[in-house]
Amino acid sequence: MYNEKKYKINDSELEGIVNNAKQGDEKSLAMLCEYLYPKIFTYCFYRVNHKEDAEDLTGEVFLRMARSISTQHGRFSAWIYKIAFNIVTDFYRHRASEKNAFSESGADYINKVSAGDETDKILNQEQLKKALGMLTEEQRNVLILKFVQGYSNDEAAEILGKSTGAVKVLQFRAVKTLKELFARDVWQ
Amino acid sequence: MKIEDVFDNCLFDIQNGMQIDECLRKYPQYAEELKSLLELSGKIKKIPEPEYNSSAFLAVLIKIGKASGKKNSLVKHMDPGRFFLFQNLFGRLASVILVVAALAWMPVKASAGSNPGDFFYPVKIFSEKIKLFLTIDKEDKIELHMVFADNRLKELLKIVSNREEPDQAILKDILDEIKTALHTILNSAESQPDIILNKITHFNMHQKEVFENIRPAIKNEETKKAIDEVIDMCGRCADGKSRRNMERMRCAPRKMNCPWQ
Repeated sequence: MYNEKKYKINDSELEGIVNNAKQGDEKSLAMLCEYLYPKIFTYCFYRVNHKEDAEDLTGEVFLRMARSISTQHGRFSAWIYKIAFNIVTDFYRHRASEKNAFSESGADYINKVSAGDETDKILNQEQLKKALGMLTEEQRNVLILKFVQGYSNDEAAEILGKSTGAVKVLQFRAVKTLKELFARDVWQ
Repeated sequence: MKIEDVFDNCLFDIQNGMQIDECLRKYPQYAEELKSLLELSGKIKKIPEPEYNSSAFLAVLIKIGKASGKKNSLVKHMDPGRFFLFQNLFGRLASVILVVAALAWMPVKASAGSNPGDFFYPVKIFSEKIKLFLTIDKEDKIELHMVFADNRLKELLKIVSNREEPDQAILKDILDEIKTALHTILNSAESQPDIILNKITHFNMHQKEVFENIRPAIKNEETKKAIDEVIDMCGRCADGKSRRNMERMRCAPRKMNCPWQ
């Protein structure tokens, strides 16, 4: 289920819109785009650490959605995030390195800095973006899908092609790594 | 129970309204470690979504509109339940024209290699006349006349090479066709550039030569007479062309009775 901060479309309504879009109804397609654009953009934004790249990739996701929606089956939200996941993966494959903002992983960085409990600091978007850049790709995906997008374990597992147990483990490790990064104030 | 599972259970409970402390009391063995993790998780969830550029969003909407339009048209075309390819009136009319043209073209195509006396031979002659009628350019018209006259000659050669005495009616038709073609060529040739005139001259000389070779094989007197007429016509025109060239070159002219004079 979506993390409904702004939008008020429930799963059955979404299913109806998707079915209309599959029949070629352009209005339904536009509704889907309007509803999902902020979520897909957010996902891409935290994955690539760059606003313009995120906009380009989001556009690519919706274009692919429009072209292949007639053949879509299964859970729609999982399907579209799978598209986004694949597009971002291709993006990084072309750029050869996912660490565009950071040259080393969070774990490596933690070993270099001194300890200290700073978890009470107020998180902001920029800090989270930087912190996510220090996680592994799998940890980052789980964190974005579950904490930022509000997906359930089952949905995240379906999107990422993993078991629910694996998602729980990745989620725990991701938050633990972030806590250690925050404790060392690595992004200041 | 593993700490990963406990952490996930706590997240679920907190999402459904439970307080962190209340949740930690359920798992006292992990409470110390989980407390900071759950607090951090809460903070991450409260981070506002990043702002996106509205123009980028509009650009996506436009692209999607174009993509879905193309897809819809493809779906319509691929629908096997439709007899006509298109739904609109123009499309249906175009389909009908295509079918009629295809039906008309089939006998024309079949007649291409036919010979005098064949079932489709009249269709071949008719299609040549249509081609001539539809050709507006004078040079192209002359070219077509030469091609068709040459076709008749080949048909005649085919008959003779089979050691058959040509049927009088067929031979008359062939010779009439050649005569008509020659008249048209020569009447139109007056105003043509030298390159066309040279082509016509060579064509006439070639025809004359072929008819002279055919003539001994012909036994029927009337046919011989008809061939003689064509030989004479080709010869006079070929010579006439030469005369005109000679006039141009200020050489002595020779009176010829050629259609283009």
